Amino acid sequence: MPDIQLPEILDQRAAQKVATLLIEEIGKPIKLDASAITRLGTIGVEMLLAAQRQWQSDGVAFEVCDWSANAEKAIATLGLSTTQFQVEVQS
Amino acid sequence: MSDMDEFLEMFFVECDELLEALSTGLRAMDSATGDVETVHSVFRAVHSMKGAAAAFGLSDLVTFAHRFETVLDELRSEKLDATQSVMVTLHRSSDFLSDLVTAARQSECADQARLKELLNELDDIIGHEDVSTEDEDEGIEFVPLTLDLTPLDGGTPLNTFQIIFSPDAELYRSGNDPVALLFSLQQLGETEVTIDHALVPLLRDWRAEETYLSWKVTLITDEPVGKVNEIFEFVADCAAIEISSFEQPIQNDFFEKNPVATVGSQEQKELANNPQNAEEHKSVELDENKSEKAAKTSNGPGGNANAAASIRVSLERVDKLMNMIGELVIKEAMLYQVIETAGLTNQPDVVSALDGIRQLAGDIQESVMSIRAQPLKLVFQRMHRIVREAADATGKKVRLDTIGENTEVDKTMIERLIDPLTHMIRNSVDHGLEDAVTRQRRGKALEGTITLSAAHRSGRVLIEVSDDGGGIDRERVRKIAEDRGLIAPGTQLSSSEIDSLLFLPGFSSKEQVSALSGRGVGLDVVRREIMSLGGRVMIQSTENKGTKFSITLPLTLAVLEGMLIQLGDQSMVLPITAVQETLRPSSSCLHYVGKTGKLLLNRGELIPIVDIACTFGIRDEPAPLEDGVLIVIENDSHRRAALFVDAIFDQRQVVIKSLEENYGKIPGVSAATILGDGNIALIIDPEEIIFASGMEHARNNLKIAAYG
Repeated sequence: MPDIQLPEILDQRAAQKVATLLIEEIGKPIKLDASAITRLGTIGVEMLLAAQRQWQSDGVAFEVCDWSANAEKAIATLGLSTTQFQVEVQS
Repeated sequence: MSDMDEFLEMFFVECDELLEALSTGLRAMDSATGDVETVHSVFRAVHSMKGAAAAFGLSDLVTFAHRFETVLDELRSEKLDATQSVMVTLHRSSDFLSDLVTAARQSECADQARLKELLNELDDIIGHEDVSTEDEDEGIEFVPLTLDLTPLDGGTPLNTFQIIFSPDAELYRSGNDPVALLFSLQQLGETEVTIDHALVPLLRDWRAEETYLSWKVTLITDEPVGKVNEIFEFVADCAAIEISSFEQPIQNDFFEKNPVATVGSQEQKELANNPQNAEEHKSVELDENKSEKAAKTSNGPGGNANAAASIRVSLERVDKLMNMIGELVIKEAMLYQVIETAGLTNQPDVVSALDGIRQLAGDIQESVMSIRAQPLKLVFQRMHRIVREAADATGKKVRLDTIGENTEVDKTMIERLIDPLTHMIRNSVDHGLEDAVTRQRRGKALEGTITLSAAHRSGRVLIEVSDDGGGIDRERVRKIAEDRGLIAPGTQLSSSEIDSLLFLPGFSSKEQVSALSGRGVGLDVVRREIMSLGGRVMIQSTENKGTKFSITLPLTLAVLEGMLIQLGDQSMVLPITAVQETLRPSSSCLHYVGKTGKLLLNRGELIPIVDIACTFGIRDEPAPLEDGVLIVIENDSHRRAALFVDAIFDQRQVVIKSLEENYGKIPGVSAATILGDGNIALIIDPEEIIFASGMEHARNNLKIAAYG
């Protein structure tokens, strides 16, 4: 399972870059490491939601792990929960 | 127009779009291509209509949309399955919702019996699933309230605000972020944030520059509304924001009890009963629609990721512009003529400047035409309903497939195509398709298919209505035509000529008048309508395979590519679409019949020669053939004629000016145009000329028969 380290600042510009990276991984199980995030923008969250949706529709495992405190706070402020960024596949 | 009328008109335009989204969504649900998002979009369409209708006090519409929405909500929360019977009711409800909008638009009373019947049907669905109608709105229903900040009784210092917030892309571009705004709200008091992320697409379709998220925040605070407004002050022009307040109930467990919905519904009832109040709410409501629509365009199935902003312009203004461009083209031709007379055409500067103007005028013309162009989808959408109703009335199972619904034609054409197409579709269901028993016997699928397709073909639009039915029973058609005295018994007719009998006035193959057809308003009306649009209708039919009606239409009713011809001292225009070839007559290909009949041997076929100067009364006697040019024309049913003209000047685009509006109908002439020298030139209708030439020959033949 490839690990992708999410950048410290995940704003609109970074979200676009990460999205480009992720699109290449579509169809493969993936784990995103959110431990480094210091600033998580709404577009970043939106991109992660879109990715979760993509992986879910493909039925492939997807996980964002080790949320940093700041990231977790942003997620909660937006009315979401970190558990919404997971796709579990039953084998 | 008062402000209210203006808003109401805006509401109806919105409704049209929402109804379209609704029926598209329902069809997607039918075809199982629909996913949860489709159900959401259908729900949103009905919900938005309900909200806006409440603001205008359209109580029937609100009541019905409410019940409809309840069923859709059951579907979207997967408490209810979209079985076939449910879908049938949904389609019917969608049709009726459209009727309700039409009734409201014409300030008429809706069909109450039908309303009741459908409400019961919807109730039945809800009832089956054993869901009480009382709590269905939980968490969904929200009707914005006005900022009515009357001092609160009971000394409670708390205000409750409900904030609906959907940012535009501009908000992000300007460096703002909802996280920060929501965080600031949290600082004001106790918040509950609900995010709507239903629009977020799959990553593949995701665009950083689009917006997919919106929020609903309930805030309990001791701060005044001004504080809340302050937070949104800098983003007010790049987000749809609705802030509403209502009195805080005494209980602290406010959220658990969820009185939000109750307050909303009460308010809504009040609105429905009190149109004056409604005025205060409308801007808010319409705003909501706008943001929903924006979201829809950016994420809809056919949505363009870069969906640009749009404005509504009245058709009248576009028409005026079109007309002015017509004048510009004429003026430009006049200018050319003046320059020519002044002998300046050999000056390269003058010529290139003139060419520049010509090019520009052409480009402007094209741009305006594209403004007027609309996808045929608007017409095709309606046909689904027609098919459903016709299928219900005849008891047949019918599916309508549409192809190329994004093909664009002129707006005027869109409106005038509805009636003929409706008629043709009904005709196909009623006459074209066999009943289930016959279909089974013939080994066909029980469900009949009607295909409605559109495409651009060499500068014209081709629309085809085809069915997979039994084809035209030519023996029967012939017999009916003979019985009704439309043709003489025993007349020799080719298959296509028999098929064309269907277009004769008074022809109806149904012995019995049915709800759908057989009332004498036949395909002749369709043909006349299409012809008045400058189009043609043709039939092709194969026994047991089906029938295909093809309609060809010009792209626009405003300009025409024409051949400028000389007849005596007159200039006339012949539409280039009809022209097959031009030739100088040589004696070897000319044949004479009787005293006046002249025929041209062209490609192995003898075709009548028509001296149109005589037809139009410009000359009394036909001119000698060697003095002029022959133009071979063909109509859509492949009948040909050779027109004799004195000379051909030019081939150019001409601006069509209606003669019927300004003067009256002239046989053989479809319209007129103004030439560069300011003279009027008539535009010839080749179809009528060919038709008349046939008659002429028939008359001559009779003369020959009579006098030997």
